[in-house]
Amino acid sequence: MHTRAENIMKSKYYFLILKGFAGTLEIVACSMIISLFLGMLIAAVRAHYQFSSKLRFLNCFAVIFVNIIRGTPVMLQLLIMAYIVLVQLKSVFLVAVITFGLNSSAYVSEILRSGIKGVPTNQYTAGAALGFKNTQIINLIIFPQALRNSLPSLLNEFSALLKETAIVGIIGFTDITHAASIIRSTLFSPIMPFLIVGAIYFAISSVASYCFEKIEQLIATREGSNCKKISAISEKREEDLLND
Amino acid sequence: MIDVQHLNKTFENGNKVLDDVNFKVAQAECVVICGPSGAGKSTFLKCLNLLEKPTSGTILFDGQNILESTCNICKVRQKMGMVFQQFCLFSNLSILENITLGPIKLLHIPKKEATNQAFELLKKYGIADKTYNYPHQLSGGQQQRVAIIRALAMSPVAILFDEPTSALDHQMQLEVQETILNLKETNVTMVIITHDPVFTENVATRVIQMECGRFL
Ligand SMILES: Nc1ncnc2c1ncn2[C@@H]1O[C@H](COP(=O)(O)OP(=O)(O)OP(=O)(O)O)[C@@H](O)[C@H]1O
Ligand SMILES: [Mg+2]
Repeated sequence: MHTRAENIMKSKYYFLILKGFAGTLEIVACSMIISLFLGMLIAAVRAHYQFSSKLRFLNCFAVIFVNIIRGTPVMLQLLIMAYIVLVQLKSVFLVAVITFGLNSSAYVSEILRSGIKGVPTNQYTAGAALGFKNTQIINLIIFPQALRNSLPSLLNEFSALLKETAIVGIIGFTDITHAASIIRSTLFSPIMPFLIVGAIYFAISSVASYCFEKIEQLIATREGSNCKKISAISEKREEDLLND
Repeated sequence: MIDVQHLNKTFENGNKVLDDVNFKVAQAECVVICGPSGAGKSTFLKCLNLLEKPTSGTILFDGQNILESTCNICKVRQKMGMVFQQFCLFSNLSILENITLGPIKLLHIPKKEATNQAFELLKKYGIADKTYNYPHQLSGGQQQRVAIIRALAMSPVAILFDEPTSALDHQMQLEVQETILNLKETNVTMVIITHDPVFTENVATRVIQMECGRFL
């Protein structure tokens, strides 16, 4: 039988979980925006340097930034931001968003850079032969192709980002993992809160990968799926082999 | 129209590919360059629009030395189209966008006008039904014709062709060759690299042999 007090407690937990859920979503969404924007910027700088040896100084700065981010744990970055660099900033939410945004932007820029490397050089040559300037070739031809090539890796990165944010509890922000941890310590029962939160993470990343897949499909149908043709050909080959 | 004097090109690895090349083309001429593989034909053609930077020499295009640092090479390239062996269409753009991108972004022609011009060219060269397709959905011959139209849409005074039919089977070669033959009536200056003697016979107003970085 439920007492009144128990009911109140229960609704409080729901509220906490919901608050944590919102917190996680907000951090991931805001970090994603920063990371996409900054990641593209860094990749653009590096692409310019690669194609025209311009922006040498900025490129150097970008390389150092990316290497530092990749070479240190994100947990440490978060602590450094919270207790040294952004110690003046009162909002832990902002600290978290800035940290994860910067962190993820380094990875996004690398993903885009390898996407750019995957674009055949003849695309660049053809653009130059038409009379386009470097900037135009990069913006109109190279970058769109690189972005499309990078979609699967970008999904990976954002899915990793979602799970990395689970550590923001250490600077006192209530994300969904932190919420579960609070509930565990008051209820003295770890199973339900952690199971629920695990399911929620799983649901969010499933929805995200579904959306990414849809985007990829959209692009593929717009350009009349190449992959389908290729797989059809290879299936046919397999059939031929079986018939022999 | 194009006047090349004492052109030399040595690659960074010390490979001397062009050795004192002198070359002149007049307006509306169609010059075919042929010669064995490795003679430096492609390198020469790329030097004409500075896709490769010559080591020394002068290249006059419409009386202007394009090797001078004051010369805006992008503007020169807009007037000197190029068609490659491997078609090199922009794979993220539809056929229509491939053709209109240059006119819209470089010549600042209104989109509607550029689109109409593209429609007309596509109709004229018999690939109007592919307007909204993407490059990989076209046959090699069709892609190469689109590449030629893409160059034409910029209203160039000269077009450089680097083995435009070498990557194609016989039927497609004929299609593309016919397209190039049709261009002769437009008075556009052409420099063509090809190994095809029949095509050379049909199209050339002058044939130049190239061997080991020299014109014979
Ligand atoms: N980027 C480069 N660096 C060094 N050497 C090069 C480079 N590009 C071409 N070469 C060399 O220059 C020479 C001429 O090459 P080029 O491509 O101009 O020949 P080609 O006459 O067009 O031959 P093909 O008929 O096979 O196309 C070759 O020996 C090649 O190895
Ligand atoms: Mg060649």
